[in-house]
Amino acid sequence: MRTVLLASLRTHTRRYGAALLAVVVGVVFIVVTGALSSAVRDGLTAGVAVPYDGANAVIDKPTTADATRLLEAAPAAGADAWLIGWTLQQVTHDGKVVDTSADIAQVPDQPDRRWQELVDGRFPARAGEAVVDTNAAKVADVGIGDRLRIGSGSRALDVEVVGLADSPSAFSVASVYLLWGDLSRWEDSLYVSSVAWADPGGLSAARAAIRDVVPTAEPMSVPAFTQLVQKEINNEVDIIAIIVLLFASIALLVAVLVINNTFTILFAQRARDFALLRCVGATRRQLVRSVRLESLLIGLLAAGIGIGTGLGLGHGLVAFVRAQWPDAHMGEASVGAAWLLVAAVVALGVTLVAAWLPTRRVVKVSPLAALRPDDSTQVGTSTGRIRLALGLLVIAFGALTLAVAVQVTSPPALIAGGTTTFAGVLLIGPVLVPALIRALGHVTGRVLGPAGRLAAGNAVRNPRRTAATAASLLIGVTLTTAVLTGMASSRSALADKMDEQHPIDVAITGAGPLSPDVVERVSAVDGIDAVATVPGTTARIEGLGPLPVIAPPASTNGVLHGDLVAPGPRQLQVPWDLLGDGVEPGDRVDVTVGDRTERLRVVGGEGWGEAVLVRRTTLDRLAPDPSVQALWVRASDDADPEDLAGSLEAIAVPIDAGVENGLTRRAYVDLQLDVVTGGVVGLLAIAVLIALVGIANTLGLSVMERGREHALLRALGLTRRQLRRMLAAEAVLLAVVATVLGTALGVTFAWAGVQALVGPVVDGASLVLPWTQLALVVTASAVAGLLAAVVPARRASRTTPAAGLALD
Amino acid sequence: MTSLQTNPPAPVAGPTLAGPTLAASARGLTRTYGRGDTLVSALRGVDLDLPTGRFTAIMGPSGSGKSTLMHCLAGLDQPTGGTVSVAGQPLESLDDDALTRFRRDQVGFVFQAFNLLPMLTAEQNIWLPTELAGRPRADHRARFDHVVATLGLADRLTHRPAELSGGQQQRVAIARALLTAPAIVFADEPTGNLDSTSSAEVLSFLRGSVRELGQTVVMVTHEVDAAGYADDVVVLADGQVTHHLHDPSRTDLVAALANRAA
Repeated sequence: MRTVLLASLRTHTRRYGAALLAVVVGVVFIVVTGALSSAVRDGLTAGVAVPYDGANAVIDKPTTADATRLLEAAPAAGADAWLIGWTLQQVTHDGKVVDTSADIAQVPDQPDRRWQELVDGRFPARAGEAVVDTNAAKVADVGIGDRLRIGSGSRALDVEVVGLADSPSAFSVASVYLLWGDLSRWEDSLYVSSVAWADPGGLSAARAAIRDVVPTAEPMSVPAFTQLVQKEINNEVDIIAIIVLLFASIALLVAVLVINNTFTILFAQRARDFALLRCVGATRRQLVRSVRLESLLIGLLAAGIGIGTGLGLGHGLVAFVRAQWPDAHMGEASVGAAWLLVAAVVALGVTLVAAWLPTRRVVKVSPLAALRPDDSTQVGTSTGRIRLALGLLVIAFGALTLAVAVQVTSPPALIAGGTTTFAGVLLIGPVLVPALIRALGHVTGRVLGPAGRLAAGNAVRNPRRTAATAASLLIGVTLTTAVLTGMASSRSALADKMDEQHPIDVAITGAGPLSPDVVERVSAVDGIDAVATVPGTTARIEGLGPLPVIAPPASTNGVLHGDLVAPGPRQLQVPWDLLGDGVEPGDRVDVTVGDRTERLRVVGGEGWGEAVLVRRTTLDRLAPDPSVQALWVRASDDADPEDLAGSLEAIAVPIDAGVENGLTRRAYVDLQLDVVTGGVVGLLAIAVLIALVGIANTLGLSVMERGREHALLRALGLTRRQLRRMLAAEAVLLAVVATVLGTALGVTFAWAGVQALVGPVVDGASLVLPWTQLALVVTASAVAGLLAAVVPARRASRTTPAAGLALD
Repeated sequence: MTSLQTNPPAPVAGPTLAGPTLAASARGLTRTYGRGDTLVSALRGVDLDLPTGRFTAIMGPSGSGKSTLMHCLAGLDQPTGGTVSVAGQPLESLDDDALTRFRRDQVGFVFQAFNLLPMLTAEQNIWLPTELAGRPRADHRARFDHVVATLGLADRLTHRPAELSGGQQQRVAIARALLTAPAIVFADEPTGNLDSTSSAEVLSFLRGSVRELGQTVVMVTHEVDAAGYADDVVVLADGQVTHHLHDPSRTDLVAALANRAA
């Protein structure tokens, strides 16, 4: 049998190409994921311990108040303390905003505790001096000696850059480092990751000293803390890797379908060969062993090629990212042997599983089949009624589960319902897909004439094969359209939420009255739809200090998205950021302007910048003749958030006015949704790609099988162009039907998902169909179908009719 | 080698006002396959004239070049050398598309097997060349009814090929070939897969189409019995024409075939 095995491998290698490719793509996916996650892990965990060099104890995630107390108590206790933490502030250089939210961190006060690696210049020696991260400095074009303004409004700080530094640890990197004395002004917006404590008396002395200051603190040793951090990082990387591998498994599932289909078709074409082998004395066992060995070798080959390509691609990608974005903190890629072994086992497993059923069918071939006339072009078997009934039953069950999932808002039930429904659709595929193709075939018949009609006939000739080919594409398309529709619906639901949180696109709040000149210049900025002048004054507020007091203007001029929550008669709306430190919601505070004082109740709110909001009547009592204190700006829909913010900041920064930018936050949320959608669709694209390889493959194998038929058609007067058109139409029909079916399923699943997952969080969440994107998906798959037909159609049309008729 | 070719070579000219009297002709026709060591010459300089309104059989043993000659005459294959004219049209001047259109209009085919498209009904198969040419069915409706009636297919039209017997399938193929009234019909071993009763039936239909419909039919066969239905017999050996007999008796035919062997 070995001669037979080798000869058949040699003869059929090209026909196995698609199956091979499908597995290889899946394996490459796995290996590249391994390479990238190892590099990210390496980059993130490297140097985690360095910032804690010299410390005995670390307090993990203390409250900011505790951290402040610890830092202030340390000198008295004879110890050094420094914190790893950030506040996000706007950074301005030469009146130009270079970063709207740069992370500002501490450089330890004691020179020997400074963990940052100085690249140039020196560390800050006094207040008003700063060290800037080398990469951040490069991006913002900032150098030693430059003056920066950090933050805006009353708390803005002017600093001089005295040095450039690198962080040894991706985990503790920041853009600007300041001494504690400067950093502490943003105490209320500071996020503290940890506080390091160096006590000359060792860990136990440190523990005691820390507990003296903060009794509830749980200090850890540095090694224990480092381990904890590394574990957290690993968990995060693992979660991402698992998510990516989930997509890899979807791709591999599609690969299983493609391989299964390939083997089924190949074995059908070789049925006569198998029968002949049985005739000349091969036992069933020998036949099956030979065929299984063949698929095993294909799997081995795919694993080898996949691992090699994956390693090359993974290492190349990591090297590219490291060279292109040095501040991405990507480490060395190292894919473990275990990971590679798993990839190889998956490749073999996938191939063997996919080949299992077709090989079982091989043994059923009777030796007599070799003696009967070739019937490989015979019309395929019809689908059993049992299968149809079973499929409908499964769909009904799946739909029921989906309905229940929507009612009880349970994600697991949602997934179970979706999977079951999908399985049901696959079961009735051999009936459903040909029916759809026949319906659509009328259109191609109209458009392309006889070539179109023949294409529709060819496409439904073998319902099982057609359904299996469509199924592979169906998976990717269903998931893609579900994600697109789900995201569009979430986006519209979120848009309402955003309107509530950021009713104003840009609010410019002056430290004093805004001059008519400023109002004019702001109104003249490009990309602005409307500007409302907001009356107000500056007041001293008990517990909060001097702050602008503003009242919503009588005519908002259409600048608001939705409604601003208006303050009550004796209420003072204070931004949440300013609350919690001495003043709490519900407190009554004195608000004083000149000699007038009002006692008002504090409520929290946000969205209008650094100012407090009162009723117009309250404002009138405080300042009978208010000036223009703020400008609220509505951007036009097509305005670029960054450009607009830059233009407005150029006006606001010189006059010391604060800019509250709801537009960029909105844009940021949009960007995040775009990134998630793009990422998921990109990962699913690999599954779609494999499916398209499958379509090309089915078509290619069918073309070989129908060689004589095509020759006959050519002899009877089908031109080359018509033949190519016929095959292209067949592929497009298949791709479009699978896509339309997938889109219908995807939209249904998205609807259930939106009802079950988004509905409970955001009221009135409804299904939003991203028509353009869905149309794009259908168009793309039609074009891809065309592309899939290119090679088979060319091969088919190159053969002369005589050569085709002589084919065996 | 003795040539019994009795038909003097007629000059190959374009269509004259009187129309071509030759359905097809070949001059110095050669066809080789492969190259170097594997070079095979299937045709070595064939000169042949096939008059209209005759039933010609091309005979010869396996490998004599019968099928290659037919493929070249029908414009299915490109000759390596020499010229072929069908219905007065030199084929070498046509590109692939023009050749396809020419075949569609002027040539009909009946093959040994794979004659019909399995997913089409008998009627759809018969209409196929007309449909490919984009001609309205109405033009051929009368001829369709006549041909279908002559071939006895009226009650088989809605069947698919798998539901027809071998003889019925071949009759559908003949109907398809005759529907457009082509200048010449080529039949490649049309009875190769049939039992003797069906064979006789199919051959009678082919001869009938020559006698009653005025068709020109060229049939490749290796069966002496089948050749007996033909008006003329061309005998081929080793890629060359050895005999071109008119209305031969069976004895003449057997002698010609034996002569080839001698």
